[in-house]
Amino acid sequence: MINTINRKHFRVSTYFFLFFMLCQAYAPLFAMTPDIEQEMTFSQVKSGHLLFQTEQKKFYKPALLLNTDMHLKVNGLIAMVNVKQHFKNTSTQWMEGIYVFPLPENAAVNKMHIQIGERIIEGEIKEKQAAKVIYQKAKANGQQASLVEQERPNLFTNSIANIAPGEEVMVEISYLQNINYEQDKFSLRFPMTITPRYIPGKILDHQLGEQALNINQGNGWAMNTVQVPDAQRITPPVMSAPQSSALENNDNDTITNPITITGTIDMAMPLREIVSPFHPINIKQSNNQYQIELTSGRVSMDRDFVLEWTPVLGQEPKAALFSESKFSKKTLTETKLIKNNSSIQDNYLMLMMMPPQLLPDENRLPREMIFIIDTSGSMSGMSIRQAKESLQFALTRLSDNDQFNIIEFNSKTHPLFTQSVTANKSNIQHAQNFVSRLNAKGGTEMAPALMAALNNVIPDGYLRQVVFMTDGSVGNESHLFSIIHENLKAARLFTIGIGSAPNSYFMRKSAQFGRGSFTNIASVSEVKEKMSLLFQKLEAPVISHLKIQWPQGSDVYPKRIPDLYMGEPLIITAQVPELKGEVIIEGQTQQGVWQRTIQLSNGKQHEGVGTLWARNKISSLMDEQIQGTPETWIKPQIINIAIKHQLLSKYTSFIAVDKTPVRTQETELKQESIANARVKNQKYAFPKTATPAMRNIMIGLLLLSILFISRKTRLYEK
Amino acid sequence: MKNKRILFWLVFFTAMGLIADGSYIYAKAHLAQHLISGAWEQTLTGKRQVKPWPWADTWPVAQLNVPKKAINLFILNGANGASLPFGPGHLTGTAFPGESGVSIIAAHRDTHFNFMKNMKVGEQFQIQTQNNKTVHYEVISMKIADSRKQMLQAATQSDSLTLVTCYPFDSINPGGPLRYVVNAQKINSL
Repeated sequence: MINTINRKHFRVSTYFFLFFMLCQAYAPLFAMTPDIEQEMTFSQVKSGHLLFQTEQKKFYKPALLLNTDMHLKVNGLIAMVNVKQHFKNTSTQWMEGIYVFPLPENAAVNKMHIQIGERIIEGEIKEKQAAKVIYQKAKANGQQASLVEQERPNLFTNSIANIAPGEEVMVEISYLQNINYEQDKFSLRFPMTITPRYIPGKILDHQLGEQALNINQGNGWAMNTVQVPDAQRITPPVMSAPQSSALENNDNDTITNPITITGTIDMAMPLREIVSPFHPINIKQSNNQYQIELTSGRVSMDRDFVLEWTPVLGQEPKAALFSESKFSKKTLTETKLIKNNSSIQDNYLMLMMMPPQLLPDENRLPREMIFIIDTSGSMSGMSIRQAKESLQFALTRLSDNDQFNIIEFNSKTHPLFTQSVTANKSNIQHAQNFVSRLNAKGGTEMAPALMAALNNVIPDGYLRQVVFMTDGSVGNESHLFSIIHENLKAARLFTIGIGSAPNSYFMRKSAQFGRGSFTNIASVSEVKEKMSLLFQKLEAPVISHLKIQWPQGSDVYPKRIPDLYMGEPLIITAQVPELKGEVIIEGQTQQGVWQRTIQLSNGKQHEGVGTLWARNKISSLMDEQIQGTPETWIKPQIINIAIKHQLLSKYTSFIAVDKTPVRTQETELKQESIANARVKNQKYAFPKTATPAMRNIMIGLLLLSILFISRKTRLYEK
Repeated sequence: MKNKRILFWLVFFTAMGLIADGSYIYAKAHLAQHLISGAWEQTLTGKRQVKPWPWADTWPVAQLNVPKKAINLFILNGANGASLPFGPGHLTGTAFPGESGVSIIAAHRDTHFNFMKNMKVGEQFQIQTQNNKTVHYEVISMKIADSRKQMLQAATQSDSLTLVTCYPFDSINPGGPLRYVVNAQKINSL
């Protein structure tokens, strides 16, 4: 009796065990693996950070140290910014430094000089290739020199030759830029580091003859590709920001690439507030002049510096006109022709006009909203959280008669629905679940995602608005701009720059070619405010078909005037024959024609207007190239205007050379790339690093032995 | 009786399938490295993105040598399901191994990075880059991290390499949250 019970018991438990093991074996087929990769908040960061010691001598340390001082002077709608880069050679060898650095995408870089000890050597604008040759010669001769080149409108390279052991070379770069003015708020962004760019396309064979001609090949981490032939030059080394890891012990002594930031703001009007959302600042006021400086003196260059200020209520400027007259030297032939007058006066204007506030349109078209969300590796960490929250917010703002779709992309493109669907409750619910599961990893293949959003036929009677959330960290910007330009049709594209250091050039230009506008979201706390503003823009009517009549002979940029969204001013620069006459602005609104006339003689003299006009003209010419005009036609024009206005451009560089050689031919020159600080909050998810091999083999063996034992027992029973 | 027979064969084939699958993972991990060596040789002659076999989604980007442990591994592009079965993977977006910046390499604990359990602080190893340069590293620390709470974030001012694998080494559960993280720093070659 006891025996049978025992045997029965054994049988039952064997079956149970077999069943359990089978479940285990087949589990992976059915189970939805839960998502263990979670976002972490700062407060959760406590231990296990990867910290490294660097004290031991044998470890490799950078020989060149970089210190930066930035000073900005805001006057009216123009900011003048000085950036001083100090390169200190801490080694016992002669060094050449190469530093790839960002500046605002609309910066007009018009001055450069180097300072070695007490000596100051002014930089000159030269045609790019010629400047390179001068630099190479100086470098070989042992002369100290600096070459500043433009890689992208917001990305530059500074090469500094022959920095003596223990010596410091300072390179000062100055630029002008337009202040952003939107929703009654002024703002300015100073990029401090580069989110590593994704380089799409097939790798170029580096034996190509054309490449061999290039003197400075660059030493970035990426290989040149068909789509990004200069990838080597735009992918500088990156170091991490110890500040983000120092959270656990509040050790702020280790600042990488320290920068000091100071500035004055003079808007000739009282301000309600000045805010620097990511870096604490001190503000001092005297009359309408405000002085700012970093509270901590210096910070790491690991995220963009943003400054925003708002005028006192009711004092928001609605229109402004600035002018500048310059006596420019003409070329020799022209001088001969004119003879008695060897210089000619050039007149430049900058016009700002805030359109009237429009009432919401009762019978607006229903919308087809397509959200594109970048889930590539560079978005990992806080960026993907910002993007996901923005998208979740956007989903709540859709109304029943709208249609929508979501397109997620990294290396591959995944649309949520095959085509746009009605924004009803169940579809929104489905979308919210989809968004909450999104993870950032992989490459940044934007082109297929953009095509997927723009190429579908727009449903009849709908207005297509595409909202694109990305950090824009790609190297093939112009290729993408031409895709947008060619496929846009009746759609409108709005970009949202995500993260601590987005590629603003990509954001601004994509929105321009997409006839929409751009927004930046740099922290989760900004999501609600910025997204609400964006939706107000998306829902409010625009002022379209803007026409401006200028006096005969004016040269006006931008050439094509964009539609104006709610709260956006019209900003336009022009070269005019004389500061007389008037301009007539005319636009279509839902409520009829809107018209304004402005007298040109009323302009306030302001330095820099001419430079900004020239910068806009270059930008306009570069746009034409994206739209298909051949480079051979554009290049000479850009060189011409850039040299006349002493501007850095794609085809012109700044070069400064000290006359006396300091390094003898016998001593060696070592080259070093100066690393950019790692973008704050950029982190990588752990990959899965175990296989089920051992488990499978063990379960298999176990099952076999159970079979064997149960057979044995059965035989024994018989 | 018939049911029992079905159960028997079901269990039998499942068992054999599991053993075969497990062995296949080991075999693949081992054999693939041999196939990759050809692609690596071509890479060293200046070609780029040489696929070890025509349908591969990855290609070798560096070679890892740990002389004391007789370890010689080809590091593949990307640390994901397409590369890790065949070799250690380089985490896209981090610096390339051997070049300046912070580089992160991950591999399976039960195949390629099984040797990591015996790594010690002070141990040296080398990376051969695509440009046929040899870079020396020294292990300076190791840590166990929880992938549910943390993310990889190499914090250093100089050139370093981080090796990541699953932990504990002899656990049979493939989905565990713990990771073993070895930090190594570039040293000037002696």
